[in-house]
Amino acid sequence: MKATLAAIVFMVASAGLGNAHAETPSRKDIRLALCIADETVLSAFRDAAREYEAMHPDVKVTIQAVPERSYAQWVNTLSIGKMLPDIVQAQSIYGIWASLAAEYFQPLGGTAGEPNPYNQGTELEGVAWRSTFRDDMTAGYWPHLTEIYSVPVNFETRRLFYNKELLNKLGGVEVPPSSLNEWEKVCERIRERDPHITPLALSREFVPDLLQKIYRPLAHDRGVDLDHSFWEDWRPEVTLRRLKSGEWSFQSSPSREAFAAMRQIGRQAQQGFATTEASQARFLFLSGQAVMTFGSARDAAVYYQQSAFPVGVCDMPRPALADQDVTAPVLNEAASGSVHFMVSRQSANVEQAVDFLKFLTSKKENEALTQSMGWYPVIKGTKVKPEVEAFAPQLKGVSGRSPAVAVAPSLQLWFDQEFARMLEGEISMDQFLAALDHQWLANGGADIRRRDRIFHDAVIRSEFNSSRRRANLIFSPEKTSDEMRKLALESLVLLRFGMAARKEILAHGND
Amino acid sequence: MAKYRNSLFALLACLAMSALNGKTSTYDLMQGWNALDRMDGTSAVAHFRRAVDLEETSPASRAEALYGLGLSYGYANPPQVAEAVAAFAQITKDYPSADCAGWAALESVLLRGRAGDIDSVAEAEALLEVAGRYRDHAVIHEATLRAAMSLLEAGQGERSVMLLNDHLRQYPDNEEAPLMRFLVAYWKMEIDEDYEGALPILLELANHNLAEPRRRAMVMWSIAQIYRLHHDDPQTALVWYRRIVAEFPNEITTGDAQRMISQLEKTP
Repeated sequence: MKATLAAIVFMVASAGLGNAHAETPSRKDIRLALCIADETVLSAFRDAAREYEAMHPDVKVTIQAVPERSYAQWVNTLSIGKMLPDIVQAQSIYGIWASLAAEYFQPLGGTAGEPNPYNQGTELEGVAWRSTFRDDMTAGYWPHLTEIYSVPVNFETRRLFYNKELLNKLGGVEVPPSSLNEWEKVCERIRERDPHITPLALSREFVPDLLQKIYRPLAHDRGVDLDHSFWEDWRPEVTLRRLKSGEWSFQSSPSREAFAAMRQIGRQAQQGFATTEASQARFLFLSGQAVMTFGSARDAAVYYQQSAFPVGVCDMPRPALADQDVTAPVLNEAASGSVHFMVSRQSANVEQAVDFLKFLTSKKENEALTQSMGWYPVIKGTKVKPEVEAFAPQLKGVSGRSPAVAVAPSLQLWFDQEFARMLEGEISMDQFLAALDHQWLANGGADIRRRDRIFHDAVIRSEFNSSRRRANLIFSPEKTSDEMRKLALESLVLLRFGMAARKEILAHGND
Repeated sequence: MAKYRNSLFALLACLAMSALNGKTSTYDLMQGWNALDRMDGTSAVAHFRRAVDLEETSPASRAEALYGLGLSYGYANPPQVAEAVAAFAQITKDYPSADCAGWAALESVLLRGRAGDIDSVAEAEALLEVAGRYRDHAVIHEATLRAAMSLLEAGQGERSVMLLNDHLRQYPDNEEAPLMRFLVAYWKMEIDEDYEGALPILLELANHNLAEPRRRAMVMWSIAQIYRLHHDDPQTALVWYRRIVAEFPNEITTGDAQRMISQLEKTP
C-alpha cells in the first residue's frame, strides 16, 4: 500500500517537476550576423550585446561578422541548411534578398505597431515601435512584398567628400557647386591644372547609387503622370505597358537627360571605376590623388581621422531638368540605405530576437550605438554627432516614382553590366538606351514572370503567416490581436493581387 | 481508517492523472505550435498527434491539436495534403459547432489550392461552398474574399468583382470590407482602366483605415491623381494632395503630394 502511495506521489511530483522544467527557460542563444568587418562596428555591437545580457541574464547574444563579398551566398546557404543565425543583416531589399526574406524571415509589420518597451521613461514611451523611427520605419518596408521585413539601425545617406586644399588650389572654389553643370566645370579645371589628379574617386559600389540619386528624381515627374495604376511603387509591368504603347522610351526625355547626367559624373572619375573596390577609391582620396569621393557617414570617421588634409562634406551636385532652368526634385532618402536586420523564421527564439532589435532601436541604445560608430541614428530624438550632421537624411523629398529600369534577374544582370560600360564610355549613351528599350520589349515580360515565380515563395510564407495569426486568434487570443491577423491577410491578398494583375496585363499585352 | 486511506488514494490518483494528462496535452500543444513556428514540421506533427491521441485530452484541446496537425501537414515541404485534409475534416465532423470548424473548412480548401490539387476556379467554387455552409460564421467573409482572389488568378476578373460587390451590398460593414473595396477599386483601375468606376469606391475607402495605415495615403494619392489626370479637375486634386500632407506628414507619398501641390499652385 505504501509503495502504491509513493508511486502516486512520485507521479504527481514528477508531473509537476516535468512541467516546471518545461516552463523554466534555459539559456537562450541569439546570434546576430552582419557583413561589416570594421572592428569599431563589431565592438559597438558587442557592447550593446553585453548590456542586453546584463538586463536578461538568461540570454547570450553573439555577434558574428562575415566578409561582405561572400555574405549573400553565406546567408543563402545557411537558409537552405536551416542554420540561419537568429538575426541577419539584409544587404538590400531587392534581388536575392527579396526571395530570402519571403521564405526564411519573419514579417514584422504586426510587432512594429506595438510600443518598444525599452523606451520606457523617455518621450517615446507608449509610442508604436514604427513611429519611433525618424522615417516611421519606411526603410524597413519592402513594398514589393507588402510587408516590413527588416529593422534599420541607422541612415546611410551618401554625400560628396572633398579635399578642401586641393579643391581650392586646383578647382578654384571653396566648396563643390551644387549644380551638376557647374560642378563639371570645376572638374574640368582640376584636370587642366593637374592631369595626374582625378577629380572624383568612384567605386563600383556607388554605381547603383547614381541611379538612385540622379535617374529617379529626374524621371519622377514624368513617372507620376504615366503611372495610372497608382500603387505606392512604380511596378515593372507599367514600364513594359508604357513602352509598348509608345508613351515611354528610355531614349527620350527625361530618361535621356538622367543617363547623360550620370555619364557626366562618370567622365570625372578615374579609369576603371566600375570595377574598383571601395577601399581603392578611399585610398585614391586619402593619398591626395583624387579631389572628391562619394561616401556615407560610415566613411566620415575614416576620412576625418586618417586624412592629412582638411575634409569637407556636401550633398551631391544635382542635374537640371530638361528645358527648364530648375534642378530636379530632391529625393526622399528614407529608403536610400541603412544597416538593417531581419529575424529568421528558423530561430528558436523569435520573440527574443525581435526584443533584441527593439533594444538596439530604443532611443537610449540607438544613440549610444550610432555615436560610438559615428553613424547617423534612426530613432527620433536621438543626439547626432556634429561630424555626421551632414548625413541627415532628406525625408521631405519625392519618392522617385520613375519607370523601373530593370526587373530581377536577367534584365538586372544585363543592366548592371551595360550601365557600367556606358558610364565608363565603352559604349555610347545612344547605344545603351536603344538597347535598354530593346531589352525591355524582348525580355521584360519573361523577366516579370520569372520574378513572380520567386514571389510564389513569398505567397506561401504569407499564407503561413496568415494561418498562424488566425490560429492564435482562435486558440490563444492573448498572443495576438485581430489587427495583426488583418495585417497578415492584407499583405497576402495584396501580394497575390499584384501577381494576378501582372498576369492579366501581360496576357492582354500580346507579350 | 481504511475508508479514509482509500479516499486519499483515490484523490491522489485523480490529481496525478489530471496533472499528467492536462499538463501533457497543454505541453504538447504549446510545443507543437512552437515547432510549427520554427518550421520544424516533424516535431510539430509528433506533438499535435500525441495531444490528439491522448484519451484524456479535452474536446477543445483535441480540436486545437487537430487544427495544428492540419496546418503542420499542410505547410510541410512538400505538403501532405491527404493527412491535412483528414485532420481538418475530423474537426468539422466531430466538433461542428466549435469556432474553429469554419476556419478548418477554409484552411482545407486553401491548402488543396496551394498544393495544386484543385485549380483556381475549383478553389473558388469550394471556398464559396464553405461561405454558404458557414453563413453565420465570420469565415463567410474571408472565404468570399479568397474566392474572389482565386477568380482573379483564374483570369475571371469580371466575375470576381461581381462577387465582391454582391457581398459588399449584403454585408457593407463586414470586417474584410475595406480590403474587398480595395481589390475592386484597384482592379478597375489597373486592368479595366475604369477610373470613373473606381473613384466612388476609393472615396469610401479614404474614410477607413486598412490594416497597414500607409495604404490610406496611397488611396488618397489615387483619388488625387484621378481628379488631376482623368477628370481634369486640378482644384479637387489639390484638396486631396493637401489631405495627404496634413494626415500623413511622414509618409513617402507625402513628398510626392507636396511636389504636386507646389506645381499646381504655380499653375494659373
